[in-house]
Amino acid sequence: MTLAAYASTGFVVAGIHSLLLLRDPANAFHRRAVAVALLVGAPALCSFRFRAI
Amino acid sequence: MVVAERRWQRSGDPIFLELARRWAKGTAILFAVGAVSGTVLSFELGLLWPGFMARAGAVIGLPFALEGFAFFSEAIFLGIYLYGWDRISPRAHLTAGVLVAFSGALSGIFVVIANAWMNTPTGFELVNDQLVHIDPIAAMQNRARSPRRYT
Repeated sequence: MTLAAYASTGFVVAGIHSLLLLRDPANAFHRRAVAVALLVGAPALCSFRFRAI
Repeated sequence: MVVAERRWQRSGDPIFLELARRWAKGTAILFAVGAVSGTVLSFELGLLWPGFMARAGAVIGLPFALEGFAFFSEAIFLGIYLYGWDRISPRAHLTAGVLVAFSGALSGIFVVIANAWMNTPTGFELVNDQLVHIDPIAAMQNRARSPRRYT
């Protein structure tokens, strides 16, 4: 449940910044934002396999 | 937010600082919404379901109380985080952010435990329509508290 919260939050934030990045592909701010958001979301998503908390 | 601040402190890239500050605003708004809805909910427990809480409160009150402590420590450290940008050392500020994330996750876990107990209640015995042998720790270790335990 907690990991699901991390995964969904990470991907929602990455999605918002990705949409803004579509409008302005060169924007360094949104590029870094997507990188950090996926850094949080992706490991949480991968950990679903192990079903921890 | 904390990851972005950590990367700003390590790389000195001002974009990461801007990122941490902007996400801190989002965190503040979401926390405020959560605090208001949580206050309403905690009154609802007694006002809408007094019969349930009178019986179940002794069994399942512990995770709710612990959630309260986790919430208050989250609130304290979020206050330090939001107002301490230029007032405390960078290291203390980052620690405050880590504690916000940690206690936030902890309060989420406690609420899920309380919710799981309503699906698979344990930690008591029903004798003559009365709850006896109440064990709050055993109630917290109910089967639905995590997917692995449930199988």
